[in-house]
Amino acid sequence: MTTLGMQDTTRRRLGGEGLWQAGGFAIALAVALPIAAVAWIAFFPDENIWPHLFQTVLWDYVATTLWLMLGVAIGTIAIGVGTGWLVSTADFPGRRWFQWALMLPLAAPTYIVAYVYTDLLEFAGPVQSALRALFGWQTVRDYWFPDIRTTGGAVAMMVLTLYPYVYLLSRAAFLEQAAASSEASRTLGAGPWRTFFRVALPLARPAVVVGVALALMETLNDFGTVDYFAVRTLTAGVFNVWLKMGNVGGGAQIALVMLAFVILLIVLERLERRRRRYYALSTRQRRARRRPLAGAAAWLAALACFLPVALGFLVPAGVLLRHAVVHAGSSWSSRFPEYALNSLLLAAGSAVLCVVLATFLAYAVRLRGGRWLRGAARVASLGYAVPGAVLAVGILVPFGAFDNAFDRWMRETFGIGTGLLLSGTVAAVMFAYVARFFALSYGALEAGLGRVRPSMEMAARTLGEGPTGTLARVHLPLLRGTLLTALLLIFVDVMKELPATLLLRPFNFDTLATYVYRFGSTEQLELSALGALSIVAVGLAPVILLNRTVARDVDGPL
Amino acid sequence: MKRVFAGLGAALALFGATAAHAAEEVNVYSFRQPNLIDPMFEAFTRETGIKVNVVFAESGLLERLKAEGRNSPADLILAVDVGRINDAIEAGVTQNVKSDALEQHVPAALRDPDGAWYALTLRARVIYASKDRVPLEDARKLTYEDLADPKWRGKICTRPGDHDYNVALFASMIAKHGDEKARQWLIGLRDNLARKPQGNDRAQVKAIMEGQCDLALGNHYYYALMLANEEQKAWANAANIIFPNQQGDGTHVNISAMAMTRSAPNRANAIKLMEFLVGTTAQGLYAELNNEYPVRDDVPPSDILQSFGTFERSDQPLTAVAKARPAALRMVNEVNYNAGPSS
Amino acid sequence: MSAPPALAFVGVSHRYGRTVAVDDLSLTLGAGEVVCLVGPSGCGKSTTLRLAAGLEALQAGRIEIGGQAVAGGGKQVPPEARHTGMVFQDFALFPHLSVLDNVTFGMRSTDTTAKQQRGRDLLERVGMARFATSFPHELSGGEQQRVALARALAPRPRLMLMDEPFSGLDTQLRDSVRDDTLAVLAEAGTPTLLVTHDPQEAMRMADRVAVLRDGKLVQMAPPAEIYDAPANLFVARFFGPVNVLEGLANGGSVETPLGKVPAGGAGQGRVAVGIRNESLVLGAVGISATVTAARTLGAYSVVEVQIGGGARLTAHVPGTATPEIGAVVHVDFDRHGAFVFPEPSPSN
Repeated sequence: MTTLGMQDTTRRRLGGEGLWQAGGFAIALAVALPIAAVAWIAFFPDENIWPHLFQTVLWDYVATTLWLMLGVAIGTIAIGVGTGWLVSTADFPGRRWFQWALMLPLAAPTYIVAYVYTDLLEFAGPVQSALRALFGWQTVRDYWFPDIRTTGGAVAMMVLTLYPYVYLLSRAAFLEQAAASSEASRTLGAGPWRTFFRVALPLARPAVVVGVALALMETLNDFGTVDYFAVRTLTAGVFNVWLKMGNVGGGAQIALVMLAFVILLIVLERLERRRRRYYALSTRQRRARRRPLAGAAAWLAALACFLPVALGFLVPAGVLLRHAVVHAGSSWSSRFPEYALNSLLLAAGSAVLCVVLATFLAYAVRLRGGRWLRGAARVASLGYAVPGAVLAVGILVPFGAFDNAFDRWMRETFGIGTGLLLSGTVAAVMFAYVARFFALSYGALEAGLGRVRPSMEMAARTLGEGPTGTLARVHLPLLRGTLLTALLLIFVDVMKELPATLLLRPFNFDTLATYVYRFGSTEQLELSALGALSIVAVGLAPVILLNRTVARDVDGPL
Repeated sequence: MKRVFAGLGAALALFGATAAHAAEEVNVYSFRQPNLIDPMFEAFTRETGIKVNVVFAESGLLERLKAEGRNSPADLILAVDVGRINDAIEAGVTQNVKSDALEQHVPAALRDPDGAWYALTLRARVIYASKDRVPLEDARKLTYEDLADPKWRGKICTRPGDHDYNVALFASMIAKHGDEKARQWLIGLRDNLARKPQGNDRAQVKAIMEGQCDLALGNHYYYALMLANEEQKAWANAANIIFPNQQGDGTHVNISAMAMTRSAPNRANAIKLMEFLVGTTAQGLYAELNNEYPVRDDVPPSDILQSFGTFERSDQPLTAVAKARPAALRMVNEVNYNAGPSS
Repeated sequence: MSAPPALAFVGVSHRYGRTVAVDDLSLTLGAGEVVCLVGPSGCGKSTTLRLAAGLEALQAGRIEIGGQAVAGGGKQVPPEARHTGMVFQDFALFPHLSVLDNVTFGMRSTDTTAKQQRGRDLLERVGMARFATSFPHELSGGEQQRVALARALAPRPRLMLMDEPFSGLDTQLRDSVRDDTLAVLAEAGTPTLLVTHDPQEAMRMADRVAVLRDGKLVQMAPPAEIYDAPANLFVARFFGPVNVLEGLANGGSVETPLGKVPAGGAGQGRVAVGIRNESLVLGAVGISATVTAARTLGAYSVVEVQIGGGARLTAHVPGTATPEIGAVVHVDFDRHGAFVFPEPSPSN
């Protein structure tokens, strides 16, 4: 039966849902406002930068960006899917520990990890010093050592900190898979590897694609790491044209070109997710049992899980801890607790706001689809791929325009000046977080709603519940795990967020991330370690909580 | 939209009002690290009772000023590069300040004739030369122009060409020699690079110690910072600090500077702060804490800076350098400087 | 008519893009009546059900429940306000709620104790009382079906809608669940529209059967009438195998290889004559024919015969005794199980 087609017409026409649609539009437009502002700015460049870029560095920028994305995609898939499959389908020493430890690198900002590894791996660092002492080498000309400040190095840093997105999603997908599909494959004569590549991986593919898309969007919005490594990506191009040529419009144009990359990614991802509906879990399926590994296989599996945790978390955290202890005196500030509180409140507040808005929008789209609402929701999700400072400018412009227009109107009408109501407030900072991280919550909610069979809500509707009641009584309880996942991902990301916070914050306002940057920007890793470690520590709790949720969610009845 | 603003309103209430509303205050937008300016602000507050509120960000403050327009709470801009200050003035977000104290203490070459901006400190772009491989006598004669001499092929290290410090230096070469000669020079320098440009200024000195290169470009104060750091002392000790062009037009300097915003709601306090920052107390702090050269001739540099000896600085107008900056960045792209040698 | 019909469709049409799913459909459901909608896949029967529930927006026509218009003429009562109960093909139990909470989900009362009590009563009625605290994924298919039925009945719906409610169950279970369901529905007196693709199920469950083909209502009648007086060859075949013979109608009768048949209303010219397999009688009288195949199915046996090198016929005969292949038998037929249609015989 053509059930899919039927739902579409149903959703568009049923009564009592207009409010949802209007609200959904309002949310999508508000969240997409900064993107629209960036596009507006792009219409007014100081001069046309493209002839110059075409003749000089554009293709280098594009090539480097593509290599970076390719490397990050391959790396995060290899590590994320590999470890996700191991911990969900096999039993080996330390599995229970690894299944949450593998998420830890999520808590560390990529640029901090890049600082740490540069210190460790450069000529004067402990690794090369030890090698020289061991082999009696003297200068850099005596031996070859890989240079970390390269595209390859940037790929490595990003893979180490971003693979958890892929891990998180693919693990959940593997856990959801019914035993029957893998068992059928085995009875048809396929070994575990063939089963993995022919059955388990294709079934998990939609989830893997979502994870990789998130990792790639993070890759595109990163400026700290590529700047530190002097890797010339399009992101670096944005900042050069904007800040050094003083051409903010030109910078915005490059940012839009990057968005074109992202839109391509999103289109691919949506095509994938559309197929995902067919993978919806039936209530009567039995889940696979984990296969115990023995001997060398068991230890290899443990090692494969240990390496990403060690390189992505233990090593950087260890180095930071050492610095933090040694330099505790000079890196502590009496206002440190205040900064931590600011970070916590902002992270928690914007995570909740983001998830509430995303829930509203995702449900409105489910109720009354429609090309325009879907399109608006997609644009609203693009903020994740825009460098934070550019997105922040996209907030400054409309907020400033609103503030000044309102002030003028109030003066002319009532003779009262209102000054700046939104600009330079914590509200503007939170708005930036919502605009930036909306994709995380919306993507999760959309995928989660997709897993709730339409007959569930039809049942609720024929039993007398309206759309709102159905959301409250059916969807939200079913999506508890999804909601928590989205909350925690955003929480961790806000804790790490730097450029938008820097630019939009009120006077004398600091978070842990901006405090870290005080020292980081003057190349004093030792002094920034304490703050960086605090970010990691605060991010740990939600990561562990997240693990328990995912495990329960998938083992539960959905 | 309404929902969002309702949410934002709630958030606003949660965190309280934003800009401090103390009776006496002055608001600063700073492109400069808080750690480098906080001590001066604290001294100012101690002396005058006026509170200094700061927002620091490296990118976008100019856009913030433009967007906030006439209602901007900012009184003062602090910047670490003459280009940034120049951008702000060209964007029309500043106003001229006339003050006898400022004009008296800041030499004419280090301020705008109309009072649009005033320099606070000087930072010299120096050459670091290997102690082992470049005899001090030869090194002392070095000019920026020499860096393009093929005899240094494979022996020079710099940070990426599009970094502010290098862009300013290259812009000064354009202002000095014109487009074509500057381009030839930049190509020569690129061909002399020992490796793809990377790392920060300190990393270049470290590379000298590591034997990767003999000469490096860097700002002068990093030498002082490295000497004061247990781990990095060895790097500094491997190199001499050389002020280039001493027998010619003098060493290229950049400035940190200040300008008053057009909106400046606390204009009187802002002028007080400006005058304080060029006063002997603040200038002394700049010298001691940041190892920058004070703009005032009557405030001595720090002891460690004095040990470098004195130098002649270029008398090139700073605004000329600022105006050549977009051309310099373009040139960096055109000669593909960041790809390194043999490109 | 004294009481208004429980459900009325008046000239309802519905299309998905260019595909017409329901075409000018009119039907009514009386109080307490069970009507089964049958037809092959894609005939529009599920769409009809969803239109009644309000899960699909009406495009043309009018729908009334209990005499009140719920859709049509610019009106579109949302599903939650129609007071219909629905049982889904996949049962759609809420996985996060216990069995009892599923059943009480739709009850509007604020009296929790009363709700719980009614929920337990209903579970008792469907034989699921001891599973009240279980969760749906712990139940078998038959158990889930019974919970779904109890849940749909709990808010005392004006109309029950069931979408292939037994198709997920195995054959053994299906008969008993069907009978239980009928008993529960009868006890509650709830008029029911049930969609199925299985003609036997429709015959078994329905007070009246409605046959849909390509979105059109072909015939709506009690099961016996549908079987004995099908409106056309399609309906006849849908409810059991039929031998089709071609003939010429002339003067009120049709000449067939088996003899003359009353032409009924078929008039003159070429007609198709359908004879149900079980209406053929193999015995001492009739036309002689040769047995070409025979096998027994237990309750009856299937015998294929050929009449003098011409028409091949299939007969269902009682018992397990079958004639030898090649044997010559006499074929006659029961005149009640023969239908004459004015349509040309389809090629198959």
